[in-house]
Amino acid sequence: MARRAGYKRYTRSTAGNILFFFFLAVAGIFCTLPLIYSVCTAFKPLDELLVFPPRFFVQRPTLENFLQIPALLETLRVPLERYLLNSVFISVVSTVLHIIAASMAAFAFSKSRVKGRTVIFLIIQFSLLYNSTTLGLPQYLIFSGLGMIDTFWVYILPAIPSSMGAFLMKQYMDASIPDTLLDAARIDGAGVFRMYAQLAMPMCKPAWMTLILFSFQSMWSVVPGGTIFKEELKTLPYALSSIAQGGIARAGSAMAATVALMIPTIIVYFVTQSNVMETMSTSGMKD
Amino acid sequence: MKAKKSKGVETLRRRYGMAFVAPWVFGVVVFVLVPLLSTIWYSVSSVKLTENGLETTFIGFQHYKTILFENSYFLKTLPGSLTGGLTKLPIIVALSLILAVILNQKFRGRTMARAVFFLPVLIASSVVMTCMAYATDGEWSPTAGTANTYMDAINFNAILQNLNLPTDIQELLTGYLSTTFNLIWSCGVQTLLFVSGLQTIPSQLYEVSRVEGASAWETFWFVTVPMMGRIIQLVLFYTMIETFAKNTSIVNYALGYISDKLVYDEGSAMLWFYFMVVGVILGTVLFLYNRLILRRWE
Repeated sequence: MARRAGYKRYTRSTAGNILFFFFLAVAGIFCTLPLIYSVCTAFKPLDELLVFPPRFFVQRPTLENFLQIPALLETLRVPLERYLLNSVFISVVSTVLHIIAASMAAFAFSKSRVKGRTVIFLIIQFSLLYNSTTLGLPQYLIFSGLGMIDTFWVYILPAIPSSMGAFLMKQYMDASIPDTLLDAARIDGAGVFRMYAQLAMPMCKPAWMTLILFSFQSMWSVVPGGTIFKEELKTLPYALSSIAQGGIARAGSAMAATVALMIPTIIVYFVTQSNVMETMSTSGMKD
Repeated sequence: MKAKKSKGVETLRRRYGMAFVAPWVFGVVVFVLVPLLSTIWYSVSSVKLTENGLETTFIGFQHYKTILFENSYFLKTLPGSLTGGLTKLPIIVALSLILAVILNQKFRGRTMARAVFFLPVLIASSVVMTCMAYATDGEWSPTAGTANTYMDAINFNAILQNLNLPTDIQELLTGYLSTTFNLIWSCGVQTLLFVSGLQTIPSQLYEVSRVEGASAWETFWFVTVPMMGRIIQLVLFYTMIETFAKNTSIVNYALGYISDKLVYDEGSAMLWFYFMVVGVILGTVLFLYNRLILRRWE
């Protein structure tokens, strides 16, 4: 660990460093440009939105677009808070349930010989190819069979067994939790549930922190499909996207709504990020 | 690396294992497998939407025959979608590995830099993209927001136009830029996986290679890359799922059949045929990677 402060591990020449950071900067611009553009647009007054040729940066920033959002949503039958509450509820509940179900399954897949686990795992991997649109119709039939049309279940239940979560968790557990550690725990008298809750979960915190981020991100942006008809059960993104349908004059408010929608996800990113990216705990074993 | 993998019986008894997978497997069966199997059924039957619900009659592989021998568009698009995904694959893997290696170094503003490269993943949700497509294109399209098309939805050229560059430069740029843009925007999750993987490489290995006098280039190829073997495998798999199954023209074409034309049977047949082909390619790539590369590294 005798690395000097500021010592670069991979390139040891100034030219190399400059090249690396030039590359980083170019790629960074690509990543941020759309965000900068939407933030700029969100703060543009109406005359700047309509000016031709269009300008990229905002000249006279205004909060008008944001302040207009509540007024634009007044035509909806349900107050804005209701949509917000729905979205928060759906995102939080399904994220928590998804993490629990996926990590338990991953723990068993990784550390126990469940019958047919190879087959199950192959099926999971194959099912990742499918997306929700494909399964829309059969899922609708199942929901209506279960009598769940027009309930929060149609948002939450399909999110719980999302394959990607279990897949990532299993890969992570394979690599980072040594079997010998669990054996040691068992000899010390730990039950299976204790191994899972007090050993496996803390050790793969980075993995489930990542999953929280992914799951929240996808659930936060959930728009009701053909299974929700009651207005008071619809989500915030649905309400906000209805602003965008209002024509060119609303472009500013549509962007303002977009920017507002991004904020919670970005906050969740920063909350989980330190756990996702920072040093993972050592396995506690000497191999 | 270790030969003692999968002594699972000693670690966790089977019945506990069953109890642990139960909630998740139940969910998968009800909300993924049963619907998946129904689409197989749709693909070999004739599906009619009636007032009483869905009416299906078994007709055999007729739809597969139709898409393979009569639908010229499907077969014409198939190779493009496959080669497109395959050419992107090494670029995305390499690009995200390089990005991760840079982002793993210590420099001021590293946290911000990492956040920047994860931004595409954070903001690329369907609604955000819908609104963005609307605001950049100036027109509302309800299909722009489906997660499949979000890459197309960010109309990068429209953003570029707003920068007011000379026309020649702009035309030159747009071609390369939108490709580069799409590639970089596909790297977020992969970079994240690599960065978290890089943290697990013991620093002693770098110490040793430095003492032994290995150049940075050699260290990268003989320490970093082999130690990333498992993660590269994971990234390969994830990237192939993303590039083959999301937002390829053939998938969008088939989904158009399903969601716009409501032709469930033929659409399902197209998807199943395509995913069978993709499954074979995916399996082959991962098999070759494991046999030819990963085995040597471990």
